[in-house]
Amino acid sequence: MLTRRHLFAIGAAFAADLLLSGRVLALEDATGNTLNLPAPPRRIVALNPAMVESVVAIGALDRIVGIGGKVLYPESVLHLPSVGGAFGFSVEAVLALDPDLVVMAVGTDAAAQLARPLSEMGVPIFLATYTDFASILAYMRLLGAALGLSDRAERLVSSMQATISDVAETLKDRPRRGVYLETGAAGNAAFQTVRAGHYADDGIRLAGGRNVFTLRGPRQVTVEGIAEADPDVIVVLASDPALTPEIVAARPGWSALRAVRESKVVVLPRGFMLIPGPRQAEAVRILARAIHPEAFAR
Amino acid sequence: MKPGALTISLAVALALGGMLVGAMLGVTSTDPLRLLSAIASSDPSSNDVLLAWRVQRVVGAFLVGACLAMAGVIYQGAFRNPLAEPFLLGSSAGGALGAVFAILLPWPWLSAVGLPVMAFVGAWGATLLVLGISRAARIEDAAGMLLVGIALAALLGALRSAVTLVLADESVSLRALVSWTLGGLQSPTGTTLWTFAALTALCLVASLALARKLDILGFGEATAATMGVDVGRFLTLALTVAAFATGLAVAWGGVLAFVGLIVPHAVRWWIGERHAPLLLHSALVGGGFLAVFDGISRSVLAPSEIPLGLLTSLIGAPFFLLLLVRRYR
Repeated sequence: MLTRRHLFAIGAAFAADLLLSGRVLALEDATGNTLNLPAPPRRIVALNPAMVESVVAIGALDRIVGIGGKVLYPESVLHLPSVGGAFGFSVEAVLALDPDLVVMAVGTDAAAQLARPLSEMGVPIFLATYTDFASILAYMRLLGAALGLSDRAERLVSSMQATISDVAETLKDRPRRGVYLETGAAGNAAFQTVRAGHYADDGIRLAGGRNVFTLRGPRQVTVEGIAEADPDVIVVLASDPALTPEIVAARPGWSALRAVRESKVVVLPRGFMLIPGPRQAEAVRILARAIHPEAFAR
Repeated sequence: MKPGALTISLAVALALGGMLVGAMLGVTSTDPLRLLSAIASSDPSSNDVLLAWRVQRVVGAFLVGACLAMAGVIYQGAFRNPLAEPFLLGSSAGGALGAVFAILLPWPWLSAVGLPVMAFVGAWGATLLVLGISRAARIEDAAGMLLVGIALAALLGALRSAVTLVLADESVSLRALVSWTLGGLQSPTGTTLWTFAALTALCLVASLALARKLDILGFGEATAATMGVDVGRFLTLALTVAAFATGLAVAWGGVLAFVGLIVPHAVRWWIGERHAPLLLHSALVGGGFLAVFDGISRSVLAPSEIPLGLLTSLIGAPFFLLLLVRRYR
């Protein structure tokens, strides 16, 4: 069952060190990287899909001057110049756009290739760090502060929290269902899933589910492992639009799974569900609908 | 030990024992009687379905191991090089390229064809390309073919990296791809499994037919030529067979390092150099070996599955070193 306390726990995670002294904004992002911005940035390069979506959702679409090559959403940014992505990022392409802020996520190839050279050249960079759901909201607040749009970021976070509350309200008094969330598969075996601490693991919880796996070893499971965990619902995140629940159910040995016998298999688009940005609240709602379809039936 | 009825019986025992152990291991371990009743029963209750799945998977693992071991023997014999292994002539690079397409491209016809077919086409195709290039360039010695293979493997490897970089975005799972290249055993079932078994048997028959000339080739290419072996043609034929076996293994097992190297060597130290018994024993031992390792990969960290290729190298390499040290001491 989802409780109010759960939502407060998410709210409490937004501790940000913000110092507003005169007109200079000094801000420490989650990595301890201190950002000194004399004025709100006007020329932003955003590299990862989640970062672009966040900047746009906070309301700074018109300030983006460049994006990473793997960005596919929203359509309004796709005409902007790309600074690389498929074969690595170009420091020169970024510098040529004369950015006053480069936004990227820690642990991505963009950050690995660009963070050091750009900061050595004095280009302000914003490094977002996220693991769980709360940290996604936290980086959005920080990003809002960095853009001088704290109030808009606050509104965005509030609306995401409202969506989450709305889902919780809809699922009130419903028992949690065991969920196996598949994030990848090689052929008809070697299935990948998510570990505790990942935002998608939080997503399952916020959607009224319970991740049936608390893996410490590799995030790869067999059909036997899934059968042992006995999920109520199987949610497959797939890149292949031709994949159907029937194809999933026909995998070797899968007829042994209770969720398969009860036709509780749902296929969702991976690209939507696994981008740690502003669409995560909607992703939780979609997941909730998959886990508790009858609660959302009209 | 001289190969004979005794060694064959031992190898068969290793193969059957390996499969039995592999089938007993899993998320929940099972005793042999329970397994037998599950195979015999036609009742689709959930436990039996899973046990049947496990048995099929173990048979699949056995066939993959047998193919790799046979391919290893042929490659080592054909190239007269103890370091030769099944992936030498671009099979792994080609197979991985096929797998990249199958996993990363969301094209309906690709998902219909499936990962194993793409991997097989890549793996076998790569080696056929090596042989084709060698033929066109009139390269007829093993060393020359080896160089063609190395160059093509580098090219295919680079292509695979490029395709991965271009196709990978948030909508695909790179983890699945990495897992496959670390040995991703598929689950062949029903007719697919029978076809796989029949093709593996065909590989065994074909490779046994090559055995005598592989023995002759052991005296050197020049000597073999004077003994009436058309070395260029024979190499092409032998490598085509070996590449077919490798392709089968890649299709159903992903890239499994080391099996095709350690098993033939261990068996060679056991029963000697003659190719006919070497092929037969290697296939049996290699299959049993991989069946056990598959069981370990499914059970040690259950419910997590350890990619099989990690295990074969992690445990296989020290074991191989141990054998090697004992032999040279």
